[in-house]
Amino acid sequence: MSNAETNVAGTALLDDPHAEHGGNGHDPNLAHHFDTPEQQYTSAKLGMWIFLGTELLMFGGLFCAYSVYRHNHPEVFVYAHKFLDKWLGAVNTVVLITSSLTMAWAVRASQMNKSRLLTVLLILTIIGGYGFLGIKSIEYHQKYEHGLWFGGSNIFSESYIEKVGPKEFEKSVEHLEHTTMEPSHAGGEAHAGEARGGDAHSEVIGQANGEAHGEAVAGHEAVAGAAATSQPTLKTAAGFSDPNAGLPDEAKIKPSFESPAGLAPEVAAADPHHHHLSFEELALRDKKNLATFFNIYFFMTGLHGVHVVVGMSLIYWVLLRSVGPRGRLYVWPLGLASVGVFLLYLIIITHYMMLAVWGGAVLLFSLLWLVRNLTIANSVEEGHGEFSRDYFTPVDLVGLYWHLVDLIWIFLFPLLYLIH
Amino acid sequence: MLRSVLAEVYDQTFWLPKGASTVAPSTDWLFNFVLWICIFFFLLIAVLTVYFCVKYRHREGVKQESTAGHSTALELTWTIIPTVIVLVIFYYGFRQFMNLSVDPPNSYEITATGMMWNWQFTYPNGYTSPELHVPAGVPVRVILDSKDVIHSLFVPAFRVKKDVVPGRYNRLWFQAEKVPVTDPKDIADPDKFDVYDLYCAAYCGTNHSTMKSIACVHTPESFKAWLTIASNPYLGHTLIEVGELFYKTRSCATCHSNEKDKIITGPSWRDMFGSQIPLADGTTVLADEAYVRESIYVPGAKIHRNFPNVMPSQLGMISDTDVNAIIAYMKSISVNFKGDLSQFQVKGTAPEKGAPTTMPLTPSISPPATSPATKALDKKSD
Amino acid sequence: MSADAGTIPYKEPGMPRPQHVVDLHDNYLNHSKGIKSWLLTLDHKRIGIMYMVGILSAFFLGGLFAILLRTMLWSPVVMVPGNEQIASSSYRLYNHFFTLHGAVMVFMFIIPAIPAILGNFILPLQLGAKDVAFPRLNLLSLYLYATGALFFSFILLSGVLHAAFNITLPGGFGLDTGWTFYTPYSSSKAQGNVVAATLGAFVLGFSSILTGVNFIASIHTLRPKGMTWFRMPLFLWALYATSIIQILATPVLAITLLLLAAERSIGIGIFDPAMGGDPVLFQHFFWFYSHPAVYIMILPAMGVISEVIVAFSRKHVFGYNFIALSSIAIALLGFLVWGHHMFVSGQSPLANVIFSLLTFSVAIPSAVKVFNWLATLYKGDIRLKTPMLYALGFMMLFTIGGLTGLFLGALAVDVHLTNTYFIVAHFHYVMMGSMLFAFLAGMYYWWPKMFGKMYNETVGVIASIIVFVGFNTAFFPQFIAGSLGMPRRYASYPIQFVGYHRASTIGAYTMGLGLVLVGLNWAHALLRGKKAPSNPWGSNTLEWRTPSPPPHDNFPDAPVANDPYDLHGWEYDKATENWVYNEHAAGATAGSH
Repeated sequence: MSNAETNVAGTALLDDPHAEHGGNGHDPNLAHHFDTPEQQYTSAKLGMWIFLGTELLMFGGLFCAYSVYRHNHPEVFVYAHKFLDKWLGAVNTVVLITSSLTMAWAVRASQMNKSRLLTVLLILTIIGGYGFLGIKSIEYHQKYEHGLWFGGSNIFSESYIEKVGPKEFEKSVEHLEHTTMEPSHAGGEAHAGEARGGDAHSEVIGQANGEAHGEAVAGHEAVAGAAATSQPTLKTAAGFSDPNAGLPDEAKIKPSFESPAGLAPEVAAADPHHHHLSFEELALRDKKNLATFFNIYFFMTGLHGVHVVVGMSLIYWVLLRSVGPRGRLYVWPLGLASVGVFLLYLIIITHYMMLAVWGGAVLLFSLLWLVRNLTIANSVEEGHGEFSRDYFTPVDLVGLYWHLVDLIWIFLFPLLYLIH
Repeated sequence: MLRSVLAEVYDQTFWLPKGASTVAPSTDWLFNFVLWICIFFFLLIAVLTVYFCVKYRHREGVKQESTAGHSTALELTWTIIPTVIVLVIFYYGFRQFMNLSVDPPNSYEITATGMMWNWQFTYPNGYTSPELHVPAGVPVRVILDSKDVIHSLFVPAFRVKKDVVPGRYNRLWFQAEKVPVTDPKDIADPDKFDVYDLYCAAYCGTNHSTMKSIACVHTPESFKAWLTIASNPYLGHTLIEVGELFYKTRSCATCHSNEKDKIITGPSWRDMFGSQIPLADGTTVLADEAYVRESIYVPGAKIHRNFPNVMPSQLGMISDTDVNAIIAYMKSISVNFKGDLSQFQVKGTAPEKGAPTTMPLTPSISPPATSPATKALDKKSD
Repeated sequence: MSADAGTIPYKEPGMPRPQHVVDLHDNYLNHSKGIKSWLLTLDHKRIGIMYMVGILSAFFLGGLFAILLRTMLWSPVVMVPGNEQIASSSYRLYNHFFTLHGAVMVFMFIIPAIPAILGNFILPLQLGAKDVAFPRLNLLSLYLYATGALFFSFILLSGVLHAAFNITLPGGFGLDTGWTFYTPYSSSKAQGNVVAATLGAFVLGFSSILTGVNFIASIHTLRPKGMTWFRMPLFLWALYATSIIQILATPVLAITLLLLAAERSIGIGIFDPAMGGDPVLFQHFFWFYSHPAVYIMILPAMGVISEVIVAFSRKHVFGYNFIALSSIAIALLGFLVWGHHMFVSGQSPLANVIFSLLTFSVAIPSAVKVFNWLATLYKGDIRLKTPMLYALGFMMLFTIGGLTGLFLGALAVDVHLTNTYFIVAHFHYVMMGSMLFAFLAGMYYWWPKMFGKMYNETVGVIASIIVFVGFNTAFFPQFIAGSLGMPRRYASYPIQFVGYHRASTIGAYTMGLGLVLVGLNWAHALLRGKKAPSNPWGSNTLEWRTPSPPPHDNFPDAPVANDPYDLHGWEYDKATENWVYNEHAAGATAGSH
């Protein structure tokens, strides 16, 4: 058998990476089972795209479940989404898109051999990720404070209602509406974080909610009674509102018949003048389902949050590889320190003091590590990062992943925050 | 031979149980149609395989022959023929399925409730039985409702099955057929009916395999007679027995015990009748028929001392006749009743066979909080 | 060696045998030593072997549960007043057995068996490559498989602890939901550890996804020169189609199972009717994965069968293009038929009709494959060696399994048959009979390559006949019991079904015996087997052009791909019991071809 024929099947295929021969064998970044860097890059890129496809399909299933539930209970979503802070959500969208931009720029930088720029941009992207998580923690904590946490810690959940009884439950909901619901007519001032309690604020909400507020007062007693006995007799006052009744006072004039069960909320939801759906307008069965909205919210954003953390870790891994051996001496402890700082930041939000111990310990350890590394820095060669215009696959792939994380949020934001 | 033995012993053919509904013959026809197609193709493939393996087995010195690597004509043939066959099967399956899906509007309606792990069949008059009784020759619609998890109602003889899904109302229909009645006396006899197995076909937990019942096919006359007797507890029972039944089934027992010194929420019924009841204002009242009746209809009128006034009025829910039965039961467990109990121990007589139900029938379980109609409206999808 | 490969014209079909001396003592098994060299290996062959250990253990466990539950079904439980407690605990035990049998078999044996063991070992060899595209990912998916197995071991442990010592671990004991995890039973009523099971299946799903990603990338980028898409071995086509399903369907299962775990632990409400959810939605999600998963099980099996039938009838496969493309067709059509699992769930009649029609459309490519294999046998030089016997068994069982699918696709008949033993028999014929027979065929076929040892042919033949007879005794009576109305998943049964159940149980034991014989044969081959030649069957795919077992880097010499099913030129050499390539003979017959 001739050498030529051996080559037909691809020389590098059979060559040990350490074997001395011409061609690509010297490239330390070329795995032994690939012929050429191009082949390796194509494989990696193909694999990554397929993997991203599976990620999209996974979230696709979740979106599908969301759609079915929303289709079955549109009023639940119309009502409950108002508890979400769309301004924080919007800011988070901007933060994430910005970090996507820095990431895309980082890929470009690596392709152009600008390793210092690459490092800076990767750090900026990680900071963007922390920014997203930080804002998300504020939101989560608000939900927790307001009793809109998942599972049994949600005031709409059956276990909570059973625990406190229907009267107390009604009061909590009323309080919650007055303190947290963001009146969209009032513009951006009514920040959910500031909106806790306060009679003056309730007034603003009252005005903003307009006609719905009037009904709320009218229907409230009936609802309290209805919830107590679990009878579907709730729609006496607020169940059906005349779509032609434009003025707040007129809304109190109700047709004398009771609307068929399950119909009224749709009418209300479908009516563009009436999108300030109030709690009283929801059918009884929907009230019990409100907790599900928050469960879905936490599940979707939580799973997305996990992806953000994974993405940040991957970017950090790329960052480590993008600097030389000496740079790595700083990047390792600084990365750890950022975790400590984030934990300490969480104290500001949650006032949970145990975090101080953990955050402090992590921070202290990483600072000591940094100091130790600074002392030996001179003995380590400066070197340069692994990435160049010839080899930037990891930056590229991690960038793709980060864009996917961004993309999913861009779907989540309108689906959860901007329902009407 | 085997066929006839099976038919003899278990009332079935080799493949299918005996059909007892109007849809069974066409389903069976389709089953057999597919069966013969399968047998034909299986034999074709099996015989050819074995034949090739024998004919072309390896022999020294004989080499394989090169045959065409592919043949468009051949491949098209064995693509098109199966396609046509499956389309035919699909068509018959589809047509028959539409028959199964569209229930006649005038169907007799029975609600089947599945729960872990038994069935309850509720008839239009509100009577509930653990077995499914149906009249033959009448389309029957079964509304399916589950109290907990998914069950599935399956009557092999009727060739029908449908999942019983919580949160939605599924339904199925069939028209049962009865084995011809030979003796004219049996036509209206409520105890003469054909029995078929009824299963839960969707796994529903530990005792899934015990969630079995029977489907009883009556002649229409027999069914009417059966329902009349079954849903009228006075027939064939003494007044005391009926009273005890009401005590258990009308929620009395949830608050009133029938044992001495056992207090649940309300006073015990043991030895209550004929005793002097202490009232909240310090006076006493004799627990006679009038007091019991008043306490059932207007519970707050005379409250037993040391007991809360929590009992809801039973006005319009328990008839006067039924109150009499309850009183008879209270008498039977009270030492303070000095009268003659034997007068309440006569069994009620059955009415003339086939007579229409005249009694106001009452369910033996508490009715669901919402009626099927409102629940169906509640569930918008589907 | 100059690297200027591109300028040399590709020459075919003259395909040289490696002539130069090969170090016969170096192979992937002894290339490096020590437990660490196995656990951290990136070699696809070692990963395949480790998968084999894990998957065969799972198969043993699943089989054990099968034997246990068939034993319990020997007689119906007689419920008399007073023994309700005993009867109930017997039912509970049965429910745990059938659930674990199903879950372990489906998630840990049937789905991964052929792709993870044979696929991992053979795919790079058939590609003439040194490894799969992402060796690290490959190792990761092995460890994900092991993690998933840990979850199921935990469930098993919790079940045993509960049964033996009445200790209940957090989350529940055992698993009693059926492998389908239907809500709301699984989310609210089940006693089993549903969360652990769903997380386990979730992790196993990820293992499956990563394998799929790996295979697709490998097939796309690692094919050697000369191997165009339509010169790929059919096993690779089958794995390619399988991988498509794995990456498209498994994510949906993953999210469904996560939702179910959340439903069970915090009550998210999407599937729970009490919270406004829809339990039928879970079935849609579940079957959107699990129906295509049936094709994950059967497509690689079909690939194996195509290889084996060609090798043992010494003929070019008939209708290569059709077999190759029908795999892809089945993979894609398989996504459109999930609703046929729910004909009686109360979905709209229109949906039922559409799903029924689509279901029949999948039947066609499957049927035609069988005809193609038959045509391959025609005028061949058929050698009834063990792999071939299993392949022929596959053809019989798959025909029965496929044909009985016609009953279930026909709507009205399905209403009567669904959720009865007819279904049980049908899917055992397809998933178990066909897939297991193909797996055994593949294992015997590639055994010499994997371990460099020959198995005992006589024992292999006897065992294959016992398994075939046992299988049919076990499952054919279930068709009859089912059409007579015996519902599935019944811990006890009406007395008229006792005959069918006993036949089934006898069959199960027979089959178990046959499989034990298979295991002994393999163990014997490993320890005492004769040294295997490089190409004991005279096949022309690339994996047979390297020594058995293959060296660490797979090929001592560059393999050159030509038509994988052109067997001309391979001649049997009695002295070495090996097939050798005779270029002269190849040329002579190639001309007349």
